[in-house]
Amino acid sequence: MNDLFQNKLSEIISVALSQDQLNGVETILKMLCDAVDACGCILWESEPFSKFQNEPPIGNLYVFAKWFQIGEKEKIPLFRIPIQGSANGYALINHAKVDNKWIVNGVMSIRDAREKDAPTHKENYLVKKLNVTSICIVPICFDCENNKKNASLAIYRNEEINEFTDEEQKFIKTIAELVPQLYEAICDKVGKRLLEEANKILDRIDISDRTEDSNKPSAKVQIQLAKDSLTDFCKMVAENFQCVETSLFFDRSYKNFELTHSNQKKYKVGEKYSLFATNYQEWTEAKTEYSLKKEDGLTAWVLAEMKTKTIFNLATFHQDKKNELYVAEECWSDSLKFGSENFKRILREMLNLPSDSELKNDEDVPPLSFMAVPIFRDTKLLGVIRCCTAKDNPWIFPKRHSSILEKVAILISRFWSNFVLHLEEIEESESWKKLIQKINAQNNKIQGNIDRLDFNKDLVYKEILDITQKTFDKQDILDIRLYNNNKELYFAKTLGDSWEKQGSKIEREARKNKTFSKTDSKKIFAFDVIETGDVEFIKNVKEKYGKDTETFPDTQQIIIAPIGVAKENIGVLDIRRTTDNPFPSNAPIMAELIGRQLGLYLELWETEKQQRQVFEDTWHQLKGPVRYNFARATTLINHECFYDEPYEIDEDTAKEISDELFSFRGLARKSKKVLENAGMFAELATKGQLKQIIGGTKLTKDDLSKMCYEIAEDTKLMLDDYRNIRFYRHFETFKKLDNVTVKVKVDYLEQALNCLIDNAGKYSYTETSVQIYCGEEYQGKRYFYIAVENQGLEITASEIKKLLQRKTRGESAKFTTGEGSGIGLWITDNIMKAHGGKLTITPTNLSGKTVVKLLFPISN
Amino acid sequence: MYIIVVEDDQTQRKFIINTISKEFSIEPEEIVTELEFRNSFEDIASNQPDLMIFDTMIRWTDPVPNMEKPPQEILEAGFYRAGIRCIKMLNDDDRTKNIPVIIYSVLDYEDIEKEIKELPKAKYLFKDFNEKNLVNKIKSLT
Repeated sequence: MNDLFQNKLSEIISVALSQDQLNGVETILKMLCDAVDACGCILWESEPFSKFQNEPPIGNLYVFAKWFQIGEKEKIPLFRIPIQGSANGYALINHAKVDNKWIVNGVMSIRDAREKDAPTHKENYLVKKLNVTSICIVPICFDCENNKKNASLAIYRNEEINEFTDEEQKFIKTIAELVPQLYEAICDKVGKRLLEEANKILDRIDISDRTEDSNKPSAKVQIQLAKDSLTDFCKMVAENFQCVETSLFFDRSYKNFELTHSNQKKYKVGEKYSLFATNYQEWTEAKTEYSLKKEDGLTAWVLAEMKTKTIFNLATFHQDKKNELYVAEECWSDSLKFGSENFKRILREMLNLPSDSELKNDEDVPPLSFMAVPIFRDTKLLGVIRCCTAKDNPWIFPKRHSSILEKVAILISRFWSNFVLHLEEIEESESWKKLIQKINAQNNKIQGNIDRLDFNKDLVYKEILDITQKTFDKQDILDIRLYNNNKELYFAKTLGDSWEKQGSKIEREARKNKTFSKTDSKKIFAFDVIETGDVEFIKNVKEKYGKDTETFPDTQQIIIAPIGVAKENIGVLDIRRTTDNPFPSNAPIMAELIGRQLGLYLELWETEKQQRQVFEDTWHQLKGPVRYNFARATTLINHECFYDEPYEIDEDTAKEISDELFSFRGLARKSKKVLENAGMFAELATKGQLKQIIGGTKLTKDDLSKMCYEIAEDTKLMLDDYRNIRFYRHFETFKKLDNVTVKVKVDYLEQALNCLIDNAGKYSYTETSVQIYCGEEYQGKRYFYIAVENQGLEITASEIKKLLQRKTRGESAKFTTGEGSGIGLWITDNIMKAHGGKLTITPTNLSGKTVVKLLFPISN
Repeated sequence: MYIIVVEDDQTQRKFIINTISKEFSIEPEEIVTELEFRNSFEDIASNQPDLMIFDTMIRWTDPVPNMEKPPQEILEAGFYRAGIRCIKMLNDDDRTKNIPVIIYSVLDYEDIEKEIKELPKAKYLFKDFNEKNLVNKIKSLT
């Protein structure tokens, strides 16, 4: 090579290395043309799957890069020629014979070509357009396999006198062979810059600030900021790859990814991947959401296969599939509608190509190229980034480009996974904040209602369901189910469209009035929730229960949360979702909070109601007897017998007065009992226990017997005569007190016996008797006991513990004798504790007898 | 004169019965529990008593084996206004709504004013166990 060309070679290399855009190859071609006085130059590359060795050869050559002296390259809209019959194709097929170059001087006619075993010029359009006289073609290796040359650099000259000299041919050959390496250098530079710019943009989205700053942007603002930045990101990628579209698709339900298998590897994938950012807003026909079904389109195919995909030319993709050039890709539909005439028109406009081209069969448009890369974080498939349609040379996305895009995908994955986690934190914190605000507002309201005794349960249920609905957007089946008397679940309140729309009115009413017992297997999980107190979250109802298990067949997900305080659960809060949109990950715990809150309201109300009932009951129990006593006393005082002179009281009058006095005693005892109870209730309510009894009075059989007799008599007086309840003291057993020392506080003992004998009287069946007896029992130590046994309302073993709690009456007792606030046994239990003893209740036995004992420790 | 006394407290019921017997020489009918009242409702409707006297708080039933449980709403509402609940039943039935009623209660008028105002035929009388007051009230309504 002479000095001139040596210098030009250095200059070309130097300029080539300074290129930082992918279309920088064009500059190399331009300098080459300048150096050899050529009018134009094309770097042809064979399409993938081309077969040179076939007879005839299969495939096309497409323009990788081109430059023409006449400028306005759009006026030469040739982008594709068949291998067979073209000079370049011929050169590639026969490169060994022609010493890696092939020169055509002048344009051959088809006949001449046949005679000379030379190719016809399929490049005729180009040749004619430029008046080409000489072509120098150099086959080269461009990312080729096994060093089989797959590209050619063709340089065109249109001056008749100027044939390519040997020196020129050598120079062209040297440059041609350097082009792949120079292009590689440009790619590296573009790749490096792209990653740097990507980092800069991603850094701009500040998700590092996780301080407690209350002015921190909301999730909505954060999403918009990320969208804006990632749109810039897509623009930047599109600019670097010189493509029409770059888009990012993500699934945001990061925590709800399901495990799947692909190629025997485990991946976690989302359900739907939605468009998050794109540089290309104009094209509204494109799909914006993909599932992992290949038939959804190319992007879905990339997601489903979880592999990088590059499509050389979408316009020929269907044909290429038919020719089995893409493996197992019968699946996709052209979701971007690239193959449509409409798109080709748009593409021509976009690339500023003439639309009245003389060329046909897509030779006048560049390949419609596509590449997409899945975005992973560890084994989680977060999304996909895709680039469509290169709009400058090299017009396609070679492998080198998809390698760069894969690196970009790694950067995106780091950013996105952090962003989603951060976003979930923000959203979670925001949703908690909202929920707590709602509950706080509700608390204030409920507290006010309770204070004013204006607690409407139905309204509270409705408000709780309203809060639930607002907290978990997009569900239309909500209900509160509570235990009824028979421990069945009934619908206390329902909400949501499904309740009001599904079925006829009669069916809807029947559904709402339905109750569920524990044996109903379809609803068993609700009872489990009540028993365990754990929230049940069924993520996939159909998978777990099949089709026929639910009242609402559209149910996708169910959350069942307990209603109650601590382990005392009384029902469930049932929330169902019929849409594909899954519950947020914190939904179960939020549902539990709401359920517990409702439990608390009901408990507060019950406590308040019972407290008031104690006061009202005390007041009521006192008012009647006291007023009655006063009225009787007045009557007695005014009795005419006292005003007779002299006072003569006959037998009947004496009996009448005696009965009145006896009645006074009963009423007075009742009043005393009620007052004592009120006092002890106040002491227990404020101090938690009664003061321990130190010392006390030694109990004798006679004292105990007298006390029991009087209490029994007075109790009997208060009972309806027709019930005929009888009381028996077993005095023989009282003699036990002669041998043991039992110390008591007499007032307390009287109160305790009052409670037991009064209860026995009230809750005994008609025509039965109450037995009072004593004995000794060993329970770790010696106890003297006083037992009251009756035959009446049943007390079950499970009820006993509750009976000793504050303000609880037996299930059956609740609807018999109206009076009584249910604090008697609680107070008696505390009286016994103050004595260092205990109260025991033996559950009703088969003969219907219940025994309640006061156990006092024996001192000696 | 046909009077029904709905009162679950034996001593108080006896007072009312004795007062009426002494003054009007009749034996009033006695109803002790809410369940008994409900079971007697049809008889009340057909026999049309001249007056009914109600306590405000009456128990649901006496203890009997396998006794009938009250409906859920009654369990929820409790027994403190059971008498008024019974009067409402009378008021809600065309056959019984005109039966004169005395609410004979230890509760102050203000405590049950709202409920009483909804019951046009019910008249309040404070339960002071004064025979004269009770008799006068009965006379004013019969």
